Amino acid sequence: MTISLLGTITILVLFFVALATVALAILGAYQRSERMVDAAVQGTYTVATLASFASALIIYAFVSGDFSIQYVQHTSDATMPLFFKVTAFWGGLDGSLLFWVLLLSVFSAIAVRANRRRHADLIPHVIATLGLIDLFFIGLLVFLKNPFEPFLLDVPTSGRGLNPLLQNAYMVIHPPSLYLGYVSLAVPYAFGIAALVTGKVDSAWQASVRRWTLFSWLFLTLGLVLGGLWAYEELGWGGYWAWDPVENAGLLPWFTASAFLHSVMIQERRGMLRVWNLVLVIASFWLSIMGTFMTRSGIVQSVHAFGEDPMLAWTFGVFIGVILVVSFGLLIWRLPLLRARAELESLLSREFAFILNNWMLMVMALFVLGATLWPTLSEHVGQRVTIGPPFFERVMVPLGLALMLLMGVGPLLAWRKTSTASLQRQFMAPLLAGAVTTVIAALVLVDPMLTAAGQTELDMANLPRGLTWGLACFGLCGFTTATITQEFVRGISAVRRGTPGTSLVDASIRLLRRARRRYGGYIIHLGVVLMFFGWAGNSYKIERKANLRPGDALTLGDYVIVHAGLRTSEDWQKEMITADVEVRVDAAVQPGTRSLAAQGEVVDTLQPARWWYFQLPDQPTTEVARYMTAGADVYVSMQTVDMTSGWTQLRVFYNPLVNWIWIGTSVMLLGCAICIGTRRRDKDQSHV
Amino acid sequence: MTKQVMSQVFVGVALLGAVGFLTLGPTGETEGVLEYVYVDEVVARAGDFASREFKVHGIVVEGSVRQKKNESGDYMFEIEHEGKRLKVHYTDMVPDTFAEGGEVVLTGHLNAAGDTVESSEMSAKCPSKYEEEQRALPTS
Repeated sequence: MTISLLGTITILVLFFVALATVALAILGAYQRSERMVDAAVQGTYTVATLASFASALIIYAFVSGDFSIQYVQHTSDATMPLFFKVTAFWGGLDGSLLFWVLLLSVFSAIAVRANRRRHADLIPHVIATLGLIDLFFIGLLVFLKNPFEPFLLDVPTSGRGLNPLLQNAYMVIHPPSLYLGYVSLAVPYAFGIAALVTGKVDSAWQASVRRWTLFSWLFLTLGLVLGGLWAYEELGWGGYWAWDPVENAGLLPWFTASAFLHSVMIQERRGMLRVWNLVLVIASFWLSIMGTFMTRSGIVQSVHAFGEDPMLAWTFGVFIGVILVVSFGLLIWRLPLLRARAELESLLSREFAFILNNWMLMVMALFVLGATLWPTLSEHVGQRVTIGPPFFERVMVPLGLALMLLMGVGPLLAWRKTSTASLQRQFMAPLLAGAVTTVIAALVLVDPMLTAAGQTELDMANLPRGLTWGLACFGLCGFTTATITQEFVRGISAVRRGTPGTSLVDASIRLLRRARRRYGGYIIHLGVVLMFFGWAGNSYKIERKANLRPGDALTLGDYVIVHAGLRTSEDWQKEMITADVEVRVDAAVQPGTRSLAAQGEVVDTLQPARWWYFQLPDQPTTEVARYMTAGADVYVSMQTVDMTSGWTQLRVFYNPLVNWIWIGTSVMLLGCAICIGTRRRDKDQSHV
Repeated sequence: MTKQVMSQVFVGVALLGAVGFLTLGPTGETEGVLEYVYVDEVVARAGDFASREFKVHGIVVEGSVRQKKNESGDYMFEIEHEGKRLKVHYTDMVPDTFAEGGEVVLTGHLNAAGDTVESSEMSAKCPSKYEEEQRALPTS
């Protein structure tokens, strides 16, 4: 039997087992039959096993180079390294749908196993919900996009190869990471739906989903940042985020999941926002499907032909509509059970800070969704338009800064009501820190910021937007870091007062153990601050484009960039042209001079290149080279090159503080790991 | 209405108002929002595009690309759609996926004569072998 046939049969069996599982779960819940529910649980495990088997088969087909399967032939070739052959599994549409099924099936099995006894009354509904979602995707595999589809005639003997742009380590981790985030959001959604159907809308359902949401959030964050890093290193345009629909799709559920992680604490503490939390869980899942729809059907990419796959687009469109109608229908039906148990007592309370934070995140999500979809919708209402980064930045930068302000203010406010005395005590040091940071940033950075904006003198009536936002961002970084530090200092002092003689390190570890969720949360916030610090660097970013011949130089901020020569080389996969570009520290060279100044120490020799894969000679790739420091990246990409005359088109960027974005992400992930490790008994003490 | 509901409504309205203000600004201009047209539409109503930026989508005509191999690195080429053609003067570096016969979307304006698009921003789609990740590569 061929792999193609075996795979197709597996997917068919998978479809029927999933169908039976859903039917058993619904009947079991309806007839209160434990036997049926047990059978549905077993069905969930079987679905996970079958999905794993189908995935193993496709990976085997890739590794063994079975080019009789269309999908394998389209996305791989015999010369690809093993690593990329395995990961080509999710490199194309059909495979990524199977990958989705694999993840959802495995997550369903884990979620069911973990909550089987604890939430026995919710389980049949959870199985039914997850099963229906899974069934939709399995259905796509069976009816529209079978990854095992063979060539019926003219079986090719070689593969077409994976797009070279995707043969990159980040591209290997980025999609699965985003997928883990997307798919795991189905679990909180299923619990939310189960709670609505059963009417058990107390806080119990949330206990089991908080950690899942944190898990989803962690992988969404990781996936988004890795995607940015990939764009930065691979595409050669000097940036990491362009508000591209594909990027926005990942960001949308991130906003609502972040909102949920905050608002769930208010429900736990004060019994408020019960409807809102359900809205957020539904919205997060809906947006994750919407994101998949947007990126997979091709509807929002104007460079693509509209409706590249109209059948897939329609199927997804209907699914998205059904989710929306059913979920909100259930929510409206259960509204009477969802009354808040407490009222907001004061605007100067942590509850209100959380409510504001939630609104901000929700508005950001709605804005990004609207602005991403508008170009597609605009085709039908008259003028076709496109929406570029300046439009997004105009709204998202101020909202992002406001969110950071709240991140600093929130922990300083007390639950219920904050007294004036407490306000003074709490805010004094952070405000001072914010002011000092702003002043220092202004003294050091105004000049480079003005240069970056193309101005020579400070004109107070016409301040460049980058300068205003840049300084505000640095100030807020100072303010928020101070609030976080203040919280840690107070916490550690309290531990040391309680057990005198404890060392600083011991006291910190104890503090983290005692209230992981609270202090883990602060560490996540610190990571966010570092990311904002990195973004603030954009306010004095420099970009230069130049045509240089070997020996030519150009100035870039404090550096001189020298074209030191070109060379060609070749390996078994591709032909390469590499430039040697020296980065020198030298302030003495006047801008505009082309002479290679004798002075100036070479700090690094960069090797930007262009590669022509034999498989795809008309699609060269740009290989970026960077000189990285904590202060800035010198980023060089080579665009076109003429070997006979030596003319080389270089694009050179001075990207200040950019590496703090990646550092901040690592800190966020560390904080997240600490939070996920929360044990049951931590729950009472944690309130952040 | 309870205090909580009232404060929620207030926050919501204030935020949406803020977004509206940020989006449209005091003057109602929408920075970053450009009309997106095909070559034939530009040719048909050239007058409309005289003094403003827009995005134009077309296919690079085979054999039309000329590049000055000097410092400026300018490109001259033609794009077409539905049988209509437009000249392009492009003054930036082209993305990796730029090729004759490939689809491009250019951002720019018409020159005074109304027959050439002056552009320095391009996204290009490769003539194509891959269904996946053919996203336009931003060039700025």
